[in-house]
Amino acid sequence: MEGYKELIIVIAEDDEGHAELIKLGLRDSGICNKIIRFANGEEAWQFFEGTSKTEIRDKNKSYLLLLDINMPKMDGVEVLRRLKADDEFKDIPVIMLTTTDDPREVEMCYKIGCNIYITKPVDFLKFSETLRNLGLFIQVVRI
Amino acid sequence: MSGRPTVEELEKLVEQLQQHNSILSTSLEQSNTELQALQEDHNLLKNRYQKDIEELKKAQITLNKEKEFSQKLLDCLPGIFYLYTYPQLRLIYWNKNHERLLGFTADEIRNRHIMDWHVPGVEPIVQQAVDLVMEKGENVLESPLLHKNGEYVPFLMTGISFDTPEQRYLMGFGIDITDRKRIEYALKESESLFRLLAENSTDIIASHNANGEFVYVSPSCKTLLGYEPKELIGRSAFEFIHPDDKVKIEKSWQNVVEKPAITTFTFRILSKDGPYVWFEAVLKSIFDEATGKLKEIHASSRDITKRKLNEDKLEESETKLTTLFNAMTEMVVIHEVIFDENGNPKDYKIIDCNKAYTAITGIEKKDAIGRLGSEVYQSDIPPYLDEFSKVALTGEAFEYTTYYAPMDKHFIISVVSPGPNKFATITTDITAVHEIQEIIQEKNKELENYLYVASHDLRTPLVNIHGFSQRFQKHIEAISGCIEDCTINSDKSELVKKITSEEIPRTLNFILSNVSKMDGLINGLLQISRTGRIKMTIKKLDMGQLIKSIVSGMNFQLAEIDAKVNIEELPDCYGDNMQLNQMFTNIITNAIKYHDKGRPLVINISGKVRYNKVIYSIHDNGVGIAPRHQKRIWDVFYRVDSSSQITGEGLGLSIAKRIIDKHKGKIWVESEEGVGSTFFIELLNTEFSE
Repeated sequence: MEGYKELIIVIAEDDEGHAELIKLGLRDSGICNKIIRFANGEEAWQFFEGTSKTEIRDKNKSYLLLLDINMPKMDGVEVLRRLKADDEFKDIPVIMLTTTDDPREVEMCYKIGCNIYITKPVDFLKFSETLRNLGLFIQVVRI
Repeated sequence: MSGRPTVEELEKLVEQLQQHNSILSTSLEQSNTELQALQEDHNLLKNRYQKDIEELKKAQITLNKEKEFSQKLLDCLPGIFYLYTYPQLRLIYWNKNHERLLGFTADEIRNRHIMDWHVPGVEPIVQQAVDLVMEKGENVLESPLLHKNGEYVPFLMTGISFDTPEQRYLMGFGIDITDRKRIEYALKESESLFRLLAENSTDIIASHNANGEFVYVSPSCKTLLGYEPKELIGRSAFEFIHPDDKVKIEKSWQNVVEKPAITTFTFRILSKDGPYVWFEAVLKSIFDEATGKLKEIHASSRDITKRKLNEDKLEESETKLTTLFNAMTEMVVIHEVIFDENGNPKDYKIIDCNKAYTAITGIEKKDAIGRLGSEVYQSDIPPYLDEFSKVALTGEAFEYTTYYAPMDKHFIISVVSPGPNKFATITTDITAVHEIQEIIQEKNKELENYLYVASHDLRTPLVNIHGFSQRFQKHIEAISGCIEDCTINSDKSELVKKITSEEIPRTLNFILSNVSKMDGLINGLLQISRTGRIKMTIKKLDMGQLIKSIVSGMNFQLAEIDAKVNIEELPDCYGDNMQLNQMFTNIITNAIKYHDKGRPLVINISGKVRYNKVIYSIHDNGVGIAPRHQKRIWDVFYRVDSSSQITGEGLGLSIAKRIIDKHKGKIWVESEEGVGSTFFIELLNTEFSE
């Protein structure tokens, strides 16, 4: 559809298996958006910031970030904080993915501005549903 | 002579006659004179009589007046006047008061016999008294007289004899002495009471004069000292007092003799058998109010030899205690509460302290004793006034741990009340222990952190195993579907079918179910580490409200097994709302999980305050816990019966215990298998910090 920006899903996940499972889950539930994966928070941040040597954010496209919390170099909470502190990125929807459901962590992420907080392992069907709704919602808003 | 008279004879006769005549004329003259004199006398007498009559008349009037006067005089006398004839002893004259005081009319009194007034039987005494009056002229008699109303009134009567030539009389005057008699009687009563007391007292009751001599001494001196009273009377008490005590006693004696005073002496007194015995005497000097002079000194003394012995023993044990007191490493301080004008505690005074006090605080004993807490610790309100005065007033002991910032020390303070408005603090310096505790706490935190990281890291591969197993499951389902569709013409087809539709799914089920189990365990570890790491918000909690909300959240489970929960009025406590909610939830959930299927579950929840602590108890009539399990139920993942159908990770109680530990509380259980369990939870009802 004309006027719609293409939505790209960015996954920041250090564990290869988890990243793979998320990708497969999304595909299985019928989401065929482009998926880019980074193995740590720093790479993800550099991608958005435009300092990455490999791949740089395309300003004409929409993004949705799936962010793991425990990652080397830069953790997910820091990435979230940086994104939400920047006017250019603060509208990018962020879904936090974590292995624990520590209430304080959950609270903190919501405070910083994450949209959804999901604990692994995930029910991928439900997960994809959420993603799709969120992505569509984002796209509609962006018109 | 015969014949005719001679001249001579005649002459003689004439002469004689002439003589006679002259005598006669003289006589006549004399008679006339006498008559005249008589006449004069008569006139004189006549005059005199007339005068006498007048005088007599005057006298008569005066007499009448005097009679009236004396009658009135008699009538106005306060007592009775009487005049009896003697020996007839009939009353012929009396005054008005005689009628009034004894109630008889004049007609009834007139001519009454003296004995009619007296009590029958005393006639001889009265007669004797009357006779004495008549014999000696006067006498006095005390005797009751009959009143018209039939009662006898005590009278003191005088008697005087009065005689006329014709008649003897007895007259006198009597006064009513009822009041005096009553006083005399009362006096006699109290005196006999005093005697009774003195004579029967086990103490020696004595009366001394100013020199200390015995005037009276009760018979108990025989039992206590071996002396008969008569051996002591007249002798000075100082003779018997031990020479060493004499000087001291004599000095105090002087004070007692000089002014009204009560003094207690302790001294040794010589017994008749020889040895001195310890005595305590209370002396009271009695002074004559009118003259201001010393009347006597009353002494009440007792043998205190036994007491003295006890005192010696006491002194010995006191020495021991003092030694101990000062050798203790704990500070011991005894205080007295000081109140403001409204009776509220405002300060406390230090009465005593031991050496450790100086050693720990650096405050010298002499700078502390007798001084106020506010001065010694230099603060407007002395430290812990509220806590301390509560103990002093209620007598309930109390112990707490505290950090005293001015000294940078941690203390355990036990407060006990040794007497009204007093309290003693036994303070142990636990600064060193506290430092160790802090290290342990730090280590514990570190451990919890490891636990957290470890369980988090363990979970990462588990998520993969889980996720990929699920994918595997999916793939194998797809493969079995394909195999169904395209028939393989091979002997192996049955085998492939068996593997794809039975073997692999079965294997995967094992993998997945164990992954869930492991996930559960890791979640448990995470929960525990979280309980330890979570920051608490300590505030006053309405426990009644908290428990009610927990129970109402379980209404469904409770109704399902027809359980009943009784909640008594619960005292409040301090703690973290979320954590205590979880703790009570865990315990009540256990009560529901482990109810006895043979009887409807009844849960009773109650609480009581124990000074600064609150003890809640949750009692159930469930299956109970066997003694061998009771210690281990608090361990992580421990389940009494792991094969039981009841679901659970064995975390509830170990989390409960961690929560209680963090609240500086205690949790314990009393249980009997097959009867039920009671969980006791002790929490603080005062503010505290983690």
